[in-house]
Order: sequence, then C-alpha cells, then structure tokens
Amino acid sequence: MGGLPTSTVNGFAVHPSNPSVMYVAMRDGIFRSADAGVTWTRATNGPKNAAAVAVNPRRPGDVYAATTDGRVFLSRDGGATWDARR
Amino acid sequence: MTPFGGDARVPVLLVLAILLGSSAGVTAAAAASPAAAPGFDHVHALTFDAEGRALWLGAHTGLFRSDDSGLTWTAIELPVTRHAPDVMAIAAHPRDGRMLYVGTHDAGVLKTTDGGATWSAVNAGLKGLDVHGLALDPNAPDKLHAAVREMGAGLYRTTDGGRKWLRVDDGPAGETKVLASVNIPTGMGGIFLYAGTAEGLTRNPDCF
Repeated sequence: MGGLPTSTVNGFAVHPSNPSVMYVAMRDGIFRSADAGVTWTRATNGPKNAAAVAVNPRRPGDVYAATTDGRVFLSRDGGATWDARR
Repeated sequence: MTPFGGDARVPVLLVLAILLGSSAGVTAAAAASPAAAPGFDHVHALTFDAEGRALWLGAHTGLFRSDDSGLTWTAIELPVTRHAPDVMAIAAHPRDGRMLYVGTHDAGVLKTTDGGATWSAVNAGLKGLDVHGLALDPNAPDKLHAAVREMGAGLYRTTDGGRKWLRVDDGPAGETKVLASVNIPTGMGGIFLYAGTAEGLTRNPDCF
C-alpha cells in the first residue's frame, strides 16, 4: 500500500465498475489509487481530517467526502479537485 | 424523519409561533432555519444508495440522509432507545436503493428495506453489538461481513441478509474504522475484503 501515510484510515470507497480505483479518507486528506491500493496519490486541495468518502454509483466521477467535524466536500473529477458542499 | 428543509408546514407554524409566542413555535423556527442543519459530530460513514440519489451519513449524533447531493440533510430516526445511536458504518445494497444496513456503536446492525422509513435489528449470532465496520458483497448482496469490537470482538459473516451471523475470525489487526468488500477476485473463489484500521489499509480474501 505504497504512498499512504502510516496512520489511521478512517474511510474507504471504490469505483463501482472499476474496483481498482479506490479512495481513502485520512487525517492528512483524501488519497486515490488506480491500482487497487498498490500506489496512492493525495488530492492536493482535498479536505483534511477526512472521516469518510463515497463515490456516486451512477456518476463515478462524483466523489464525496465528509470531515470528522461534519463538513461535506464534493469532487466532480474523480478526486482531483474538491469544493466545500456544506 | 425530521426534515430540515422544504417543509411546507413550517411557515404556517412560524406565523402561529409569532402570533402565540409559544415555546412550540420556537422549536418550529429552529427546524426551519438552514443554520439549524443537523450536527454531524464525529462523522464515521458516508455512502450512496444504489441509484446514486440518497447520500447517507453516519455520525456520533445519528444517521442522516441527503437527497440533494449533500446540501441539506434530514435526521433519520432509528429504533434505538435512550439516545441517538452512534452510527459507525453504512452498507448499501448495490441494486435496490431502498435497502441499507447500518452498524452502530451499541445496537448492532439495523436494516431497512424501505429507504429508511422502518428499521429492524438483525443481530442473531453476533456476540457483541459494537459494530465498527460493515461490508456488503457486491456480487452476493445477502452476504455481509461485520467487524465487532469489545464484547464478542471479531469478524462476522452473514449469507442471508443478517438473519444469522457466524463468527469468522479475529478480523483485521488494529481498530477497524471501515470495512468494504471489493470486487477484485482473489483467485480462490472469493473477493477481497479491505479494512481501514488504526494501522492503515489492509486486505484479505473473504473466503476464510
């Protein structure tokens, strides 16, 4: 699981039709893997203190994240860029 | 359910409240204000339903549902006495948008088949009710795994939608934060079970 910080993984979500694409939510932010977890890249402007992450099964480019304190963020480009939703 | 937006009755209640100055009116006014969105203290889980319509959020303060992609949220009542259940995990059926399971801190697993209107406990066979992870097999939606902490700790499996759980093993090392069945074949007839824990991300074949 290269590229992930060695700390707590709070949340996890998978692309509905391509399960090699996955996301994790951590204190350091949102990380994305395109190879089933072998390598990971951190979303540069993703939310910190991420508690959970979810992929819209009908529009897999839409990825949602919630922070521990309850803010909700949306990425419309598969986790590359993020905007506050709530 | 406690709607926090778009309730047509609220303006009437507000007018009544202003006219009467009643304490009931104060409650209605609080519910009508967008600023009074439900508090999500200690978020644990976030999941879409099968249709990508409802977004479900589990927190220390309970279960919430959004039908507008996260802008507004409704608190969902669960049949748990004493207090709002600490919702630790949510697993959605991959095809039926009305079917959902939630794992709670002290009430085990609850299941709805009507989009959250009614819930039933599905805990037979679980030796403890502190459920910190819940994974639904996308290929066999009646098959779920649950990670239980504290009393009866371990990994449990049901193959009949929660009617009966059997303990499989000790489960992932470290405190489980999230559990997911991922449709990647192991080569041994099963798929992988991923676990996010206090020690990182791990995966194991789900066939043991």
